[in-house]
Amino acid sequence: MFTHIGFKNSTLFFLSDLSTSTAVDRPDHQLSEKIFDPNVSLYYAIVKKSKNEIIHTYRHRFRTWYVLPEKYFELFKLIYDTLNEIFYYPKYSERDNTFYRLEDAVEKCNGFDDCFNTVKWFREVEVPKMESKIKKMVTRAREKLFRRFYNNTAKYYPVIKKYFPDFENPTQIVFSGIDEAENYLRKFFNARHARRYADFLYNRKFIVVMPHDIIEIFYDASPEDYILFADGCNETSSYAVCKIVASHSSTLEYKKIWYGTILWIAVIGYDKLSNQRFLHYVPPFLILRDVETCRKWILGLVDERGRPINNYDIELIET
Amino acid sequence: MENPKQKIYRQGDVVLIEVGFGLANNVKEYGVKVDNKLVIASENGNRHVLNALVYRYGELYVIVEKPTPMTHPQHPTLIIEPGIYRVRFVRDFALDFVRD
Repeated sequence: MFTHIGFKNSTLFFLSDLSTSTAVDRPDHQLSEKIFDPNVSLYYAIVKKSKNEIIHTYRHRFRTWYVLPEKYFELFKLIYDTLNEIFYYPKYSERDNTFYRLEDAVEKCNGFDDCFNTVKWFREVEVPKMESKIKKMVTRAREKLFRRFYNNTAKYYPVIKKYFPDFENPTQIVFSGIDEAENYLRKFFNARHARRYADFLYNRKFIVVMPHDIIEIFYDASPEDYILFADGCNETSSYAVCKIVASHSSTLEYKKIWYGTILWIAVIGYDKLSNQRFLHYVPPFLILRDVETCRKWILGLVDERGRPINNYDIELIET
Repeated sequence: MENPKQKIYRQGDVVLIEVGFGLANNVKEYGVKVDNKLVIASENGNRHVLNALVYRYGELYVIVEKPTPMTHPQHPTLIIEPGIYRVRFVRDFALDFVRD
């Protein structure tokens, strides 16, 4: 069997019983699925070191292919799996440093066995170390965020109580079927909005709607597992708005702070000029932003990350 | 001299966003006139009404030629200054901020 590996601005490799270019277009001669990786450097470094073992080279569809012995497939697969584990995490310096150290180590390894053992060691030792550091960072950040939620909820509780007294004892309904939930929502909203809310509920298990009074709706879940925070309020002569955050409370207790997955963020408000209350959901990227930025997103003045959509000075006139 | 500010009006869940000179010309030249009056129904059936030319150029635009009131039974009347405005609605992430 032979390992085919091809480079362009990405890497593609697979195992075949043929050593010629015929294998690329013949699935019946491919003994593994074709594995794609946008990364090139690590694989190419191995191929450069294995010049003496290259059986054949060809070009196919603008990609340069190298044919190597079967054992190289395991090494490339190991590199692929290791990179997937490293890049599972979003951009942290720890992640990037681990990748650069792996790249450096592969540049320096000698021969197939040394390179295989190097990558294997990285996967078994360095990647778990990286994961542990990232997890600690994330845990610290989440604790800080939830501590902020708890503090803000206590601080803004009087505003919530003033304009939304029914938050203390809202109507709570639990549905076991999503169609039942949609039918219920159609009593208050048009068919399209009821469907959208039902879809939102399906993914998150818990939503709040406010056609007139506050209604908490749960899908196949228990109300005790969820918690609402008030992460800021703003009161003016014409309106009062609060940012609420819903979280699934975890069974973990870390320094007496309960924290869990954040489900959604919404802005609830009271329009003093028209005596109306409203509730609008906002994108999750606004989790760290204040309530006024969330309100500007609702009005279309900022993007989903809270950045102004245009550079003009604006004059907002509202009733 | 201070740069003029972009005017944005909000009445309930309707938002009018003033557009710049280039887009305003395109709306007047290439837009299709749909009505002489903007009427938008709220969720509860009450209507926002603005006596202004309504054009469609991809999105909906209104051309306000003189200070014109926008009325709604549940909201204070808003006086819209002359200009060309894009008609938008308040967004909601759960509803994909697209309104029927």
